[in-house]
Amino acid sequence: MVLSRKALLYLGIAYAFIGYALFFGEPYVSALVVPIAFLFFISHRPGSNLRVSMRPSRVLHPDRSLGDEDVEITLGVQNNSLQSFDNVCLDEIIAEPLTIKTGTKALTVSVRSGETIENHYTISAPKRGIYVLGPLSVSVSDIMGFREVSEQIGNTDELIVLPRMEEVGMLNLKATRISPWPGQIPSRKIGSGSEFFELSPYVPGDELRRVNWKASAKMGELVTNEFEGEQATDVLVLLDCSQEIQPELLDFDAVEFEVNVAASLCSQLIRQGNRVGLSVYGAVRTWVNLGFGRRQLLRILDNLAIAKPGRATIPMDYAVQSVIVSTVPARSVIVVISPLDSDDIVKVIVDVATKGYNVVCFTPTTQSKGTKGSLNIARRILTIERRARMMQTAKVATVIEISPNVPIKSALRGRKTGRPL
Amino acid sequence: MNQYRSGWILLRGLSSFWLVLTAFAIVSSYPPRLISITVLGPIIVAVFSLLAISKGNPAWGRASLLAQAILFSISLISDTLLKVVSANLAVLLLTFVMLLFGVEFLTLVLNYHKQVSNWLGDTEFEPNARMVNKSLRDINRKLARFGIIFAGCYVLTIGVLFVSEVVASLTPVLSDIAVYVVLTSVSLALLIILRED
Repeated sequence: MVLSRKALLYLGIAYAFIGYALFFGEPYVSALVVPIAFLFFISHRPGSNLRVSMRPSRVLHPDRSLGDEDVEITLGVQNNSLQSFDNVCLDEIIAEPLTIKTGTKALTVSVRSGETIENHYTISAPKRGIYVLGPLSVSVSDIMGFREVSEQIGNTDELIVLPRMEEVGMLNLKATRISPWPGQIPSRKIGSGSEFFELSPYVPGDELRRVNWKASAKMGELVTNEFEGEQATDVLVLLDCSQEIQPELLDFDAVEFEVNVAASLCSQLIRQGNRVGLSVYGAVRTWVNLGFGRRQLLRILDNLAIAKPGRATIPMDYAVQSVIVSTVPARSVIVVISPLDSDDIVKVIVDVATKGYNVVCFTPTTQSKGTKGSLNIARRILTIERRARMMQTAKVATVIEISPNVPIKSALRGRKTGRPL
Repeated sequence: MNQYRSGWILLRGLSSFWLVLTAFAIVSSYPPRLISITVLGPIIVAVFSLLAISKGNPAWGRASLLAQAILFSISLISDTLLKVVSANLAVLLLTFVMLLFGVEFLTLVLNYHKQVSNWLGDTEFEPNARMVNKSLRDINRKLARFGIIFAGCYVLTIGVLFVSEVVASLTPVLSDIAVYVVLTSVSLALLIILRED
């Protein structure tokens, strides 16, 4: 517990009056000290003890945001002590880029013993990332504000803003390796799919609706339709944000766009029943093992939320190739999302493809409008270099150019129809 | 909801009015030759306090209080030079206590300004209405308490002066040690506070 600046100022004034009285020989001026002394006496209540004994609770709605939505925060503070406090200043410490849209995070209240205060405020739709909320800064002072105690109480909470996802439609993958689990990739084996595969002689126990009556009449014996089985495959989505493209060169944030594409593709691939994993190579390197289901999607989205552009310390070929080869089964599908702005990623794609993986590369366009002078030249050089790398990559992988102005679904439809990726 | 809004406006208006009233009370004892400060002082205080109250900006509030402090200092110095401190002591004390009350009033309004203005902007939201109600009740309660405290301050000081006058008239030798009595009382107050810490 310390004397506040206000208390020190009042004491200073009191002694100034005494000094003035002594210096000018005006003892009556010292009477002005009496009110200040009285305030000091009043501020001190015998038996009162300024001690922060409060329990905060924080509810975030939603705690995982899909972006473009405001986040409502309800902060509850309960006074657990037997004492009531008249001057309590609460200030929620929130991460720097977050901005308050409605309400306030700092408030002055009085709290009775056992009372709970609830404060509601809204944070404007934040950008993708993980933000820390808390702890709560509490300052308690006496009636006159002469003595105060400040403390930070409570835990921190994380607000995760996931990347934006868009509908990409059915992804027709070309997989040379299929897993035993049901999915949506034709397996070239008899199964429970929807595509006709072959005719086979009727065996007692076969469903009558599968009998092909026309073929049976021609062949003189009962035959049934067999369908092609549809299985899942393993897909690893590799997001390359190892180099940041100058934002002036493009109309859009290339990394943000790539992250959104990765999220959209992972969501669709998991929905199609595939086992999906994620590898992010950039300033933050993350790895999510292959897995199924909604929890896996959440795991992937959480990792995409923290993706940051920047050069990693470990060489890409070591960081990516070695992990892929050791953890992803051979002949699986590798989806690479990269601006193809360095030869390293091309080398990685070629190496991975030669090891038997089916590689599909999504690359954002560098087409831009309104650039002039040296920026325009830089952008054109970037485009030419990228075109050359795209051609190199296209020899071993399927390359799809995507743009933020065109939905991914349309970009995929624009390819030769029916041909798998 | 309108009652909260009008209550809040009234409180802000009152705090501004109090600051201007204090400024007028201070300059009322100025000698005629300080006419320019007598006129300008309250105007400056009024402008600063209105800016502080309307914008909720503590910097303007500090400027307003500083202007009042300067006005009070001028009053004290002029009384000292004219050797009328003892004659004007009741007025000096009153203006000083008014000034201290103004500090608390303004601080109170500025502390609550952001949150109450925010909540009043969306009182359709039920928790906001509840918090506005609680804040206004808090302010009124604290204000009433400050009123009692500062009124007590003034009465007590006048009482101390009266008693000291009586004692001094009975035993003239004690009149010279009044300063030391005050010094001792302040030191005692500090001692009690610091002992608690």
